[in-house]
Amino acid sequence: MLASRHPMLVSLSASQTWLEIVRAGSRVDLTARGSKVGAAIFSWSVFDPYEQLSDSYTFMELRRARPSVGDDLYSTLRRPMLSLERDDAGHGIDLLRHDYWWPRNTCRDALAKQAKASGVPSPLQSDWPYALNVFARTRIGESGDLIDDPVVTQQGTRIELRARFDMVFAVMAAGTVSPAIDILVEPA
Amino acid sequence: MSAVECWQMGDLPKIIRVPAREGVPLELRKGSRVSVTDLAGHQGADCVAVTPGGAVSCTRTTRARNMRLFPKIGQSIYADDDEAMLTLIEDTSAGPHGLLVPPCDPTMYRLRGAGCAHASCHDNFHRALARKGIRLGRTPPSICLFQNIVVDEAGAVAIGVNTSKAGDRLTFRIDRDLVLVISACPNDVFKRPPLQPTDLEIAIDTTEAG
Repeated sequence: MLASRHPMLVSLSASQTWLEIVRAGSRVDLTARGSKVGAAIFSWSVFDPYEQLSDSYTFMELRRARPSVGDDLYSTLRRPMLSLERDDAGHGIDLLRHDYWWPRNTCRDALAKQAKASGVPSPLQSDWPYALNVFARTRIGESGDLIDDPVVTQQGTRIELRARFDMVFAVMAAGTVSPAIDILVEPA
Repeated sequence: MSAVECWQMGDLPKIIRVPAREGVPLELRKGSRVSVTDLAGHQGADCVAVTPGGAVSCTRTTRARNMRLFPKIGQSIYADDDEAMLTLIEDTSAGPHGLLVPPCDPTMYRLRGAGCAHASCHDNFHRALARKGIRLGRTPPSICLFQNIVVDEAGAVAIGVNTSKAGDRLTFRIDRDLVLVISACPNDVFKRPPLQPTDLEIAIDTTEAG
């Protein structure tokens, strides 16, 4: 499966999935279509499905639990994988709770099936990555408790990411409005 | 070879010393108790656990299930199949402990100028698991006992020299048959001289094991 060389726009309703090869330098925009929407995102290298977008390596390399505009999100090989270029939500990417929007198995089962059907290289189900969540936020209390800190979205609230190398980008949308999320990929 | 095919329970001594910079695999039955003691102070103990069925300890599931950065007494470390693996029943240290970052690995040491041959918890985990016939295709984030990792309310992550004192100990009840790997973290990059990696002591109580 080849990555498109033209801009691509898709709209997802809650529980719908999208998975595509995204070339290095491409911009991926995730735009809310209303309030209380979000998405679980996953990513891995086209050439090595075991190099995956990782919360833990991002914590380690970034030394921040909440990425800000200008920060990179890291892979399991400690490489910058996605750059955060816009975040209308203000700390709208959650690294602390993988299941903020969906249980892991729900995403994995749907996306693995889609990857297989479309011929996109993907990891074994047992090695499936854990989600990062957009338009989601978890606050840390004084005693180390994790506290849900909902992100207020409205029509047009946007997060922009830039791919640092060729990768598979996968999304499972969530929310109470339909469609919930627009995804725009602008190739470099 | 899968974890299932090579699984064999062995008899363990009650006290095991983990040499500095090395890792040991322990085959433990449900109901056992295992204590990890920092003998000299300031030493980290990185752990991963794998069941005979191939479930792997999971820091993300553990954070999500407990809604905490690290379990309190009575809370558990969970596997990637959502089932409890270890329950924390004692902690004589002042903490903190970590469930956020990956184990140190050769890339980390190389990127931080420590060369290509530095020992790492990553390598200790995979070598120790391989001794039990278990080969993982990925490296799970560690259960980092005694790790001085602090996340403030603004989300800044600070990792400092471990504050654990000589004799500080954590004890877990084993909730499923599993292999637990404990690595005496070789990390000397974040330590101030003259601190160097030191030994850990493991105590195993099988009185209530199934």
